Amino acid sequence: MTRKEFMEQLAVLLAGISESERQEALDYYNNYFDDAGPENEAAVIQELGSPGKVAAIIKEDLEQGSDEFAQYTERGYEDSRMHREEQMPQTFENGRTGYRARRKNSQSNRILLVILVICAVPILLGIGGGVLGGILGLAGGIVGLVIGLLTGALVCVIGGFALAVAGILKCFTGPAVGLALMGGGFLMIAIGWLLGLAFIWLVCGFAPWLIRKLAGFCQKHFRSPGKGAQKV
Amino acid sequence: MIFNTGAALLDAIVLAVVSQEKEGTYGYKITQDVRKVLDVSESTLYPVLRRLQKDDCLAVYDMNYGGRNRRYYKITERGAAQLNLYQTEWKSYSSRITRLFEEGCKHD
Repeated sequence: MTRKEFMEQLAVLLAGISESERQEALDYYNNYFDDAGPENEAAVIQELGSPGKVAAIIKEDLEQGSDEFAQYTERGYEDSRMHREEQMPQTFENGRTGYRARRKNSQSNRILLVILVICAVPILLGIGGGVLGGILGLAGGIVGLVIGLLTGALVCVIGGFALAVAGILKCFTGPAVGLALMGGGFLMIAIGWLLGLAFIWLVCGFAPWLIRKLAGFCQKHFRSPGKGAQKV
Repeated sequence: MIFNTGAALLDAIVLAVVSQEKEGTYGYKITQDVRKVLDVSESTLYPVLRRLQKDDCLAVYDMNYGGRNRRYYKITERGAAQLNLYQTEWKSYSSRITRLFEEGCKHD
């Protein structure tokens, strides 16, 4: 990163603060780079860390306001900042100044989030249970339909065949009745055949399509976004 | 360096460094002088200078240097009084700790 890039990024990151404060900070660091000299530019950038770190330090200091920190009390000289651990820049050596307060905030936010999830779990279980029941009912219905179709198909074909045979035999003794029985039998075979076709379509065509659709839906919503995005 | 430098101590150090220059000194030089004594990150010092200026412990003035405006910091009367306070407090604080450490060593 060059000094120009560093200062440009810093200017962007400081956009949230007042114009006068921002200009003062930028002037300070521009002067700083100038005084260090171009030969020290890289060293300065490395020491400053990153535009983000510099901006964070500046912003955090501004948030503390300009109260009177120092007091001379009967207990001797006291500085209220000495007692406010969470506001003081804690560590200077490795340059992580000013991040403690930030981290504590995000920690308490996370705790609140966990509490919210725990409270929501009973409600979610109730709703989820209902949805799951509905899905299972639907699946059960489809299974029943499939079994019914198969059974019906088999029964119709076998029964129709038996009827047709009986009709043929009857033709020798009573042609009219025999013909009627034969007709009924062939009709049943035809119905059974249609039922069989429906069964085959359901099992080999519709069900796999349905399963594919469900799998796609599950992948999209319950897997990582990266995987889901690949499915169109 | 093992011990943390709190905000108050850092203020005291910066005031001490600036007070050494009667006519005032500028940001880069202040930082280099502080870093001779203390291993602080260069990004830490701007907020300190800004705060001391807002608290009226340091006065600022701009001077033309090589075609640009260089900002100089100078200690004020209030700043000098504050530094005095810090120095007295430090003497008391550090001597108590030194005494404690010495007594601790005696029993070895």
